[in-house]
Formats: sequence, structure tokens, C-alpha cells
Amino acid sequence: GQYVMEGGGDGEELGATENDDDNRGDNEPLREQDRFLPIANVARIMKKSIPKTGKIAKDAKETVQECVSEFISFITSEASERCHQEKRKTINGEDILFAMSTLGFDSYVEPLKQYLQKYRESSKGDKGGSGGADGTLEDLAEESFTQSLSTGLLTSEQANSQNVIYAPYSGAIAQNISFG
Amino acid sequence: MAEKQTEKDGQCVLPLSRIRTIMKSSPDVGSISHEALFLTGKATEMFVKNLATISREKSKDKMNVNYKDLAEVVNSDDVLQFLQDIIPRKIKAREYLEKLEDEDEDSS
Repeated sequence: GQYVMEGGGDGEELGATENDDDNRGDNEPLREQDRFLPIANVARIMKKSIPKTGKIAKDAKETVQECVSEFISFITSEASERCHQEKRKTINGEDILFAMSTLGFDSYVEPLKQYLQKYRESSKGDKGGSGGADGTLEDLAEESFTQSLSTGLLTSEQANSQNVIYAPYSGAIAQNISFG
Repeated sequence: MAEKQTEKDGQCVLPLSRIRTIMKSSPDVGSISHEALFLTGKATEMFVKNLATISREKSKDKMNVNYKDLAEVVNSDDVLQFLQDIIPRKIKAREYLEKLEDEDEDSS
């Protein structure tokens, strides 16, 4: 059967549920400070790309700050559309990667997959049972996953704290799976 | 790349809660998974770095990032077309006109 990983772990950290800490109606416009990422963060990232003695004009920082919000919305709309087309309610990692590729940011996809792997590795110890709590694994690796289940790979109990599942696109992803 | 970079590869230096707020302001967006949020954050970091890098490459001023260079990049790159409304051309035109006026004054 399907191994569904949604729900459980999502509420712990950033919340994949709707309106959980927004505390405002959907029709209220965002406050100015909420529409953009903090300019200090944006400037810091820009500085990493220029020589140490280089400067970034103030209006350039502000412009990039606005571009960033537009970029996020741009990607999100595309990802959301795909999500709806597939009758899913949660935008997952794969939707984002797909949107990047569709919108011309294909060169970002491989590095992003690397980052995603590091992210999964760094979070595997924190969450106990729910792993990535993301539909991505379900979408891409379901077949190999269920095969692993049937061969008893996952019943090695706690002796091996890592269970390795081979997903088609990024090699081995270590997962912490526990039952009950 | 510096060693510190790899430590941060699994983390995002941008505030994810704010990113989520921006994402949810798009119409018809439901829930967003952790991974989607993380990937958006990392993609945004990459985007900012790329913008800064490309604008310097195209510019005569290799050291600094100026508004004009950003506007130039955005208006000449197909992928960045979605940003053309953000970086208003009228400012670019106005600066250009002001420059023309200055040059006129100088030469007369």
C-alpha cells in the first residue's frame, strides 16, 4: 500500500498547514515589511558575490529585495499550478524543482537537489519517525520503497538506525523509519 | 568554495517564515511542505547571487552593483522578463534624459 508521510511531522516546525500563524484573513494585504525579505539578508547574500572592497548601491539593494519577492511569487504560482493539476493540496519539493526548470532556471535544479540532500541528512535526527514529511518521496520513490518494505529491509528494528532507500534521482537518501 | 559553505548547505540563511508569507500571498496556494520551503529559500539565495554576479559581468564597473546595471540585466535577459515591471524603465529613461540635459549644459 501507499506510505503516506504527510500530516504528522509538518506541524512541528514551520507548519505546512494553512493560516496557522498568519493570524489574518486571506483578503488582507500584506504589510509592507511582510512583502519583502529583510534588506540586510539580501545585501549580505549579494556581498558574497562581489569583491570584498566592492559596494552595493542602496537602490540596487532595494531593487533586488523587490525582485526577490517577485521571484518567490513567480516560482510559487507555477509550482502551485502543477500541484492543483495533480489534485494535491500541498506544494512539495518536486513542484518547486519543476517550476524552476519550467521557468528557465534549469541550471538551479541540480545544485538544489544537492542542497535538498544535505537538508534531509541534517534533519533526519530531529524528527523521529516522520522523515522528510513530504510527498516527494512518495511521488518519486514509491515503487522502490514498497519493494524495500516487502523484502523486510525495514524490519531490522533499531539496530540499524539508518534505513537506506534508493530514489531514482538522487542516489541514496537515508531515512529514519519507525513503526508505532 | 570555503569549508563553511558546506555546513550551511543544509540550512537557509533567509528567514523561512517570511518566505512562506510571501509564497502564501499567491492566489490559491494551499499548504507548503518543509522541503518546498527550504528549496525556495535556497533558490532565492542562488537567484540573488546570480543577479549580483551577472550585473557586474555586464557592467563596466566590475567592483560594485548599481541600479542601472541591474536594470540592464533584467531588460536584456529573457528568463528575467518577469522582473521588467519591477525595475521601471521610466527611471532609466529619466536618468538618461537628465544626462542628456547635463551634457547639453556642459557643451553650451
